[in-house]
Amino acid sequence: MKTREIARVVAGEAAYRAKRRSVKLGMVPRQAGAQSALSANLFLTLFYLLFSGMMLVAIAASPTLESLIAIMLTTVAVVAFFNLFNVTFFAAVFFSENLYEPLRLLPLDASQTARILEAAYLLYWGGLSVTALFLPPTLAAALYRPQYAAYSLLSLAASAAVYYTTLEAGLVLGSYSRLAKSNAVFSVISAAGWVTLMVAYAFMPQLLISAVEAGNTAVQPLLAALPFVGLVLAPLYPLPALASAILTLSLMWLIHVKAGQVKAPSYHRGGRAGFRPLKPLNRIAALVVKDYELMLREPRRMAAIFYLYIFPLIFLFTPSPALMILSAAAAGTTAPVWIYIEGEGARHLYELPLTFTDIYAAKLADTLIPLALLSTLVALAAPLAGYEPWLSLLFAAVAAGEAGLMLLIFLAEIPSTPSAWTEAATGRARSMVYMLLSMALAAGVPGVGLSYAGPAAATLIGAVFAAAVAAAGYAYTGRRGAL
Amino acid sequence: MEVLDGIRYSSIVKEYGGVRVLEGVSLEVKPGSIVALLGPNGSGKSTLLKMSVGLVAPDSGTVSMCGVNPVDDPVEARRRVGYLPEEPVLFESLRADEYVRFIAGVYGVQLDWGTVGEWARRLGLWEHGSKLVGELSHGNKRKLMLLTVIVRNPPCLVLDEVFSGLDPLSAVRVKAWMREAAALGRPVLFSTHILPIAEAIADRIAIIYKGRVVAQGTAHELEELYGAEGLEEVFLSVTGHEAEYRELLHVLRGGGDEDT
Repeated sequence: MKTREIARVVAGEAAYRAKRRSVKLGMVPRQAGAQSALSANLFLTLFYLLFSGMMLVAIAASPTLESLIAIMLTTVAVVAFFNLFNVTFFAAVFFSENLYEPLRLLPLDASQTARILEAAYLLYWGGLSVTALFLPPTLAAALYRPQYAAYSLLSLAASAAVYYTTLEAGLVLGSYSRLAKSNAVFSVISAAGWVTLMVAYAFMPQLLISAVEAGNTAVQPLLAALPFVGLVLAPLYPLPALASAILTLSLMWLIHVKAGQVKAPSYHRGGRAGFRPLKPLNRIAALVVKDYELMLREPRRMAAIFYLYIFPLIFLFTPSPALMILSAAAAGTTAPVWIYIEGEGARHLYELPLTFTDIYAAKLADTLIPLALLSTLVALAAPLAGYEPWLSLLFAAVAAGEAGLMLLIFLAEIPSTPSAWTEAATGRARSMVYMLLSMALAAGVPGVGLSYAGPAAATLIGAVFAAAVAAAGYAYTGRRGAL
Repeated sequence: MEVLDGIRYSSIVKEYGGVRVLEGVSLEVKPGSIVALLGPNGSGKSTLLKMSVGLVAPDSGTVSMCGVNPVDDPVEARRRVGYLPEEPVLFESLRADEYVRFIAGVYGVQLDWGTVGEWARRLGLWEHGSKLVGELSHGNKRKLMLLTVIVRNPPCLVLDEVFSGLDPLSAVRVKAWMREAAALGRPVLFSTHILPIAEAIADRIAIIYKGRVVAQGTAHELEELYGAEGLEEVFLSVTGHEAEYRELLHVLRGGGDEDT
C-alpha cells in the first residue's frame, strides 16, 4: 500500500475518532479526513487567505521598513501557532486513540511511520493550508516592496522553517498523549499545554498587536538572536541573526531526528501488581470518583474546562460586575464536558442499576466541585481587585444555575437506549444556541436583579434560580426513570 | 440475597426494522439449575439475554428475572441479575481495580478485597490490577467484567458467551463457580458456542435457531430424540445442517474423494 493511501486512511480514521470524542471542543478542522487532499485543505486555505489578505492590506498601507518587519514577524508567529495547534491535535488523536497499533502491523519502520503521519496531516487533515498564511504575504511583499525584498524573502524562509519545525514538533508532542492517560503529572502538564494554546488562540488579536509592537521597538536586537524570527532581521543585525540561523538549523535538525523516531512511548509504573483495596463508595460518590478518574486521564477535556476558568480570574481585575457574571455563566457552560467524559463507556452505564436522576446528581456534583473551588478563588481575590465579598456569592450562584441548566438540556438530549453519548451528541450549532440561551437566562436574571435591586437581591435571585433549575432537573430526570 | 424465583421468558417476540429476530421464544431456568443456550451467530441469543436487564424490550411476551420484570423495573432487575454481555464496553481510562470499586459502589455491594484478589488470581487477572482497562486484552476485559459479577454474588446469572476468551484453567474455575452458584439455588443461564462445555455443565440445553427455540431438554434427551451421537450432531441436525455434517465427518475421519 502506498504511503499516500495509508495517510488518507489514517487521517480519515483520526478525523472520525476526533469528531466522535471531541465534539464539544470544536478543535477538528471542518474538512479533516476528506477523501481528497484538495477538499481537505480547501476550507482552511480560504480561512487563512483572509489573514493573508489583511497582511497584504497592511503592507500596501505601510511603506516603512519598520512596519514591514512587524508584519513579517507577525506572520512567522501566526504560522508557528496555527501549525503547532493543528498538528499537535492531530497527533494527540492519532496516538491516544491507539491508531498507532494498526500501523505497527504493517512493514514500516519509525521513519516511514513519521512520513505517513506527515502526509496524513498535510494532505488529509488540512495541514497544507497553513502555507496560505505565509506564502501570499511574503511573496507579495517581495514584489510590492522590492527595495526590502530581502526581508520578505527571509521571512518566507523563517516561516517555512517554523512550519516544518512545528510540524515535526507537533508529531513528537502528540506521541506523548498516551503517557497522559497513565500518569497524572503528564496529564496535568498536557492539560496546561492545551489551556495555554487555547488561551493564546482566544487572545490572538492581542498577541498580534504585541508582535507588531515588538517589530517597532528597541527589542529588535534581542529578537534577532531568537531562532526563526531572528532570520527576518538578518540585514539589520547580521551577528545576532547568524546565531539565530545556527539555533534555527540546530532545532530543525534535532526535531527532525526525534520525529524520525516517532513512536508511542508507554509509561510503566514499576510493576505494581494486584488490586488495591480501595475505599468503598456509595452510588453517587462512585459515579463522581469515576468521572474524576476519567477526567484526570483526558487532558484535552480537562483543558476544555479549565480554559473557561481563566476568564473570571482575568475579568476580576476589570471594574465590571457584568463581565464577572458573564464569566461565571461561561464557567457553568463546562458542565456538558462531564457528560461527554463517559465516551464509549456510556453504553456500559445502561447495563447498571442507574437512573437519569443518579446521572444528573453525579454530573451536578462533578461540575459544582471545581466551580466551588473557582468561587473560593474569586472570593479570595475579590478584595485585592477592589470588589466586595458579595461578588463571589453571586458568581457561585450564577455558575451553579448555568451548570444545572446546561446539564438539564444536555441530559434531555441523551437517548433512552444504550448509546455512546459522544455519538449522540448535540450538534455544534445547536449546542451554541443552547449555550447562549442558557447563559442569557442564568446570567440575565440575576444581572437584572443587580441593576435594579442591588447585589444582595441579585445574589438571592441567582441562588433561587439555581435551586429552581436543580429542582426542575430532579423532576425531569425522575420522570425519565432508569437509564 | 434471598433467591425469589428463577428466570422466565414467555412468548418473546422482537423485531428490528421489520425483521423478526425472536419469534415466540419461551424458556425457563429454575432456581438451582444451569441452562445452556446454543445457537448459530445471529440466531437471537444475545438479544434474548439483553432482555434480562432491560437493554432490549420485547415487542410482546414477558420476562421475569428472579421475580422482577426488567421492562417494568430495569434498575431492580439489574441489581438482581449478574449479566455478562458478549461484547464488553467499559471505561477504558479506569484502572482495573478502580473499575471494581466503581461497580461495587453502583451496586451498593460491600466489597471483600480478599475475595476480589482471590478471584483475580484464579482468573489470571491479578497482574493486571493496576492497568488501564483500555490496555487489557479483549479476554481480560471479559474476565474483569466476570470478576465483578462473581464478587457481587447476585441471585440470578445471565452470562453471554462466558467462556469466550478464557484459557482452559480459568474456564474450569468458572465452570466450578457456576456449579457452586447453582448449588446455592441460583438460576444460571449462559450462551456458548463450545458444545462440550454445554454438555458438561448444563442441566438443560436450549437450541435457538432463526429466533425460535427449536430444541430443549437435557443433553441425553436431545441425543435420544434426534438419534444423534453427541450434542454437535443434535445441533447441526436441528439447524438443518445434518447432511453437510455427515459429509464433513466423513472427510475428518480420513475418507473423502476416492480420486484423490
